[in-house]
Order: sequence, then C-alpha cells, then structure tokens
Amino acid sequence: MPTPAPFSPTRWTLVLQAGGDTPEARAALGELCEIYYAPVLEFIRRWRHDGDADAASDQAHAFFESVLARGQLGDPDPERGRFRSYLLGAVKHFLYEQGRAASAAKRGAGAEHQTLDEGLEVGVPPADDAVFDRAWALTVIGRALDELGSEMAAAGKGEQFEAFKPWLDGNAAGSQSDAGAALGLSATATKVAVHRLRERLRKKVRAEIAATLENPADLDAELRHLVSTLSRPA
Amino acid sequence: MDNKPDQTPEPETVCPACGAAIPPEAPAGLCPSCLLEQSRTEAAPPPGAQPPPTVEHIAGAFPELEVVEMIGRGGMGAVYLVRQPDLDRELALKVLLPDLGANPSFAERFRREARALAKLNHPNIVTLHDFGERDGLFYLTMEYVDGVNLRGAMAAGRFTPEQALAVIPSICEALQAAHDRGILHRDIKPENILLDSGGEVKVADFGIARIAEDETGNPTLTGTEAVLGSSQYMAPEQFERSHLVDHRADIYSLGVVFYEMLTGELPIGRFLPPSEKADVKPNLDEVVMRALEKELDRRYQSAQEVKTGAEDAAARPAGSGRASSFAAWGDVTKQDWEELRKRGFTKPGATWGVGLIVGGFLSHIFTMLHNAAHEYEQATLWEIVTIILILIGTVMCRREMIPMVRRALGRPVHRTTPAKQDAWWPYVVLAGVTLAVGGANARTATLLEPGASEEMRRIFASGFTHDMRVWVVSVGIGIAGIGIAMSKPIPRLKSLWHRLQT
Repeated sequence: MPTPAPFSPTRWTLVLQAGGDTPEARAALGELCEIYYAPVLEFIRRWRHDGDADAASDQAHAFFESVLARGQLGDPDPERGRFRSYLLGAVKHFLYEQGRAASAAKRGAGAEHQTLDEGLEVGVPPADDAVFDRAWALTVIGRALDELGSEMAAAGKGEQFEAFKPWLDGNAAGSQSDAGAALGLSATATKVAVHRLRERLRKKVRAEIAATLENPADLDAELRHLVSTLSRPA
Repeated sequence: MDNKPDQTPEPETVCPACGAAIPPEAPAGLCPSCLLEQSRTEAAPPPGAQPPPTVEHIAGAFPELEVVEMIGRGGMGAVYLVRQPDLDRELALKVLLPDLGANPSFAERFRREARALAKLNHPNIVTLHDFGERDGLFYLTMEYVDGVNLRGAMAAGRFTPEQALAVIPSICEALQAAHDRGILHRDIKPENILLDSGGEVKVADFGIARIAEDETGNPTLTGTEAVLGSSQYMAPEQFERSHLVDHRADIYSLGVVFYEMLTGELPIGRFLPPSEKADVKPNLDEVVMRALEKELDRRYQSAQEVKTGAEDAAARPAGSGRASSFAAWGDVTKQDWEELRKRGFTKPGATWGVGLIVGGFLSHIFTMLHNAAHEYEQATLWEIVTIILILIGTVMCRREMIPMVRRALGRPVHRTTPAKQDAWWPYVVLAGVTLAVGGANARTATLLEPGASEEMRRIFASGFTHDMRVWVVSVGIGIAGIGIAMSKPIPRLKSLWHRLQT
C-alpha cells in the first residue's frame, strides 16, 4: 500500500545517493538536521555533564554547521542506512574531535592519540546512546502529532483533534462517547473519528521514520529499536 | 517537538498499558512507546493468500479509472480505491482472486449472484454499481465508504453497550432488506461492516461468499481460505454441509459480532452471557444469547426481531429488574402490554393460558358462593374446575410466565433455552400449594376420591374430617416443601438479599 507521506520518504536516500554533494542533497540534509536538532542537543547536554545548557546549544549549533559545511558524509558506516545512526555517529565523532582539539591545545601538539574508534568507545558510555534514541523517538512522535494537528486544523477539525488526542495511544480512560457528544458526534461517528485519527497518526509516524531510512524494509526494525529504547528505564 | 522549557518538570508517569515510563516531555502526554508500537504492525496479509494484483496492474486493466490505492485484502480478493474522473466520484473496486475464476462454472455463478446483489438498494447496504470480467479478473465496483470497518473500530477500543446499540439496528435493517429479497449474506463479520465518518453503518459483500462456492455449495479451493478466515462467525449449521443454511445463519453471525462488540471476545464453547463478562445490562443478554442459539427454531427468526429485541433492551432502564420490579407487577400499563405483545405474548399458549387462569379465579368465586349457601356439592365441583383451570393455564403459559418473572426480578432471561427455565420445582410447589389449600377447604378433599359416595360427602360437609383435613394439608405442604427444596432456595435467597441491598 503506498503510504501517503508528508514529504518524500527518500529524503535520506537522496542525501546518501548524492554523497551529500548536490544542492538537493544539501537541502535534504539541512531539513533532516533541523528536524532532529533536539536529540543532538539532548545528547550533548548529557555528554557534557556540567548542565551548561547554553554551552550545549552552542556546541550543537557548531556540530550542525560542521555537518552541513562538510558536504561529505564521512566514512562509510554499515549502519548509515539509518540517518539516526549516522547522526549519532557524527555527533560522537564531533565531540571527540572537539575534545581532542581542546586537550591538544592544552598539552601542546605531538601527543599520542587513540584511534577514532577506540576514542568513541572510551568517550561515550552506551547509556548515552539511549538518551539520544529516546529524544529521537519523542521528536518523531512530536512531529507526527504536530503535522496531524495542523492537518486537522486546516480541515476545520482542530477541535476534534484536541478532544480525541488523549485516545491516540489507545490507553486513555474516560468516555470517548462523551467527548464525541460534546462535539455533536454520535457514538459510532466518534468511534470512526478516533480510529481514523489513530490510523493517520500511524501513517505519519511511519512516514516520518521512513524518511530517515535508506531501505524502507528497515522500517519495522527501526520502530522496534525505538520502542525498545523507550521501554528501558531512563 | 513540543519542548516546553518553562514547564516545571513533572515526575515520570508509567503507562498503564505497556508499563513503560512516560517522560514528562512526551508530546501530548501520550505514551510514546504505545504510539510507536501501534505504528509498527502493518496489517498482515492473510497467511497463504495469493498476492493480489498490484495497483499498476489494476490501473492497466481499468484505463477509465484512476486507481488510488489498495484499501483492503482478504481471502477472496483485494479492494482498491478508484476514482471515476468523469463523474468525479470515488468507488471501491473489488477484484476477486484470479484462482477463483479458474473454476469453469464460476463465470455463470458470478453473474447470477452479482445481478441479484445489484438489486439490493438500501441505505445500510453498500451499493453495487457494476460487475464484470476484465483481463481475466472478475471485479465488482461498489459505493466507496470513507470510514472504518468494525474490526478497526473495535481495535480502537471495546464498544460500550451504547455504541454497540448504535450499530446493531442498522445491520439488522440491512439484513432484513436483503433477506426479504431472498439474498443471504453468509459472511457477516466485523470486516464486512463498515462505519462511515457520519456514523452510518454499511454492510458490504452481500453474497460474495456464495460466489466462491461451487455448485454443490462446497467452498472451492480458494474459497476455503475465505471461509476459514471467518469461520468463527459462522453458524453451526454452516459447518455441516449447507443445504440447511438459511437467513438465520446471518442472524447467528450477527450475534457473534454483537457478542464480540460487547465483550471483546468471541463466543466460543461454553461462553458466559455478556453481562457476566463486561459492564453490560443483563437485559441485553437475552438478545445476544437468542441470536446465538444453536438450534435454528430457538434462534431469532428474523433480523427485524433482533432489532426490536435490541432496541427494547436498550430502552429498558438498567435497573428494570430491581427497584421497578414490583412496580412492574403492580401496575401493568398499556405500555407494558405493548411490550408483552412485542415479545411474543400473543402466542396462543400465553393467551389461552392467561385466559384459563383468569377463568380459574372466576370459578373459585362460584366455589365460595356455593359454600356460603351450604351447597357443598356444587362448591366441590367448582373447586375442581378452579384447580384444573389454573393448573392447565399455568402449564400453557409457562414459557412466557417464567421469563416474565425472571425479567421482573432483573435476572437474565434465557428465553432461548427453555430447558434452563423449565425447572420442575414451580409445578411441584404449585401442586403442593393447591393440595394444601384444597385440603384446608375440607369439601374439596373429595378430590382425593373422585368416586366418593354420597355418604363421604356428607361426612366432609359435616366437618367431621378434621384428621383427614390435617392429613391432606400436611401432604400438600410437604409436596410444596419438596418443590421449594428443588428450587435450591438458599442461593436464591442469598442473591435476592444481595439484590435488595444493592
């Protein structure tokens, strides 16, 4: 079934195919970076350990600038079929490089350094990956919800969206029928409306995630991964 | 994303469904884990099914239509959303699996059924516009219902009884309209019941299951898949080769759907009435259980009856068995009679039965009059008439009386399973009480000996028979006691006490 996507699901594919080197690819990468700013910021905050929010956001800006300025995607990565993995790898790399530059400036040149890979493993505890992934998942959901909300508002059904929002995850207590009745909907029409909202949200979430994947077949695996990060304790 | 930095951090809550923590920054406070989880599962194709034709294939076969997307697939084919640009309208195009067409008699059967279906015109039935064969594909074009099927609606949460009752009557009307034309659906299941965005109910795929059968009524190889898929909704008689299948099979399937809507479960094996599984009024039990009756003659005989039953049950207040039960006995209003009539109380059994009981009481007046006039022989005669009339009357309307009593007590009424109601204890009690009362009235003791001599009657009339009277009354009370014991009085009283307290 063709999934109606809010934007092209090939966005990340576009970046990858062009090696990030065409104007379209840059534009696509720029959009993706804008969307997934929050997980990067969250990750840097956690990584800094000093709670300096301003410094963290400066660093995040610097990171995105470097990603966009580079125009190249860097080393091939078996996991880079997923933009999430790519971005996480890139931000780790960036932080490591920054840290190295800082300590090199302190200690002077010529010091012996670990290789990049070792550095990543040493410098970033795996728990921080979960912080990134969790923020990522929330970003995906937030965007899907926002888009659904603005679509509904554009269709003049903003009120309906707000009323039925609590039932979107399928868990809300309380009477749907009452909420529907307040909008002048019959019990059946309420059922239909809630179901369709959930269905549309589902498609939006899938489209949102698909846009960050090279291979659409990875969609369910990616969803599974995100669900598993969310269900782990913080 | 909804970042609200000015918000004070709230403690994490835990999702009641999946147990994962819901972080305070979760958008709209929804459980992110559940949201992603529900996005994960695409509707899986039925196992073993052929892949349906692709959208491109369909677009090639139907150049006059714009094929938008595939909107569903099942054991028998796939449904596509298409647009007719000329008329600027959307249609659903159902394409049957190519395998079905391989059967040589298929084309003829398909045409015959489709013609019958095209005659169905009802607001609650998905209208068939066209049918035919194109590039070896048998297809039907139908009204497109922009909504959700009942399966999807149930997945979004169990139906409240009110929601279920908003849907059931329309399905009944659709079925009744089709049955009136001699068309059976034969595959009623949640997937075939569509709800449009205005809340209207539309039943789809009338008779399609039939097309997938061969001439003898056996499912064809491919049809088997379709049948297996919905066997949980099939009436028992549909499993046993199906020359017995009539419109009542649809009523059974409707009962399954009703049960599932109310309880979220299928009525399999020995299942409990809905009110014992979910928060459902007991008076709906009767309707559901009667639709699910395995014996054809005890099942509802028409879809219209199901509708009336469901609407009546809905109209009656939930507590109609409790506080109002005695009022229901106390004053039988015109409305009550109306309801009794609707529920089949005009049956000869009930009418005659009630007539006989009334006659019995009238004849008792004669007994008393004759007693007062010391005309004991006539009094005895009338007493015999009284007892006979009341006994026969009670037996005649027992099927109707017991549900009435149960309903008045707010108990579930198993109209469909008289075996459950036709306990013997009420008759034993009745017989015992009759005997005791009769014995207390010494003159009627002659009953014990129909050929009693003139002398016996004189003795009785003289009041000499004190011992005899005690004896008869004791036996009567004893028999009534046995009847009461048969009724398992302790649990009954307990439940009555509980009921009165609540």
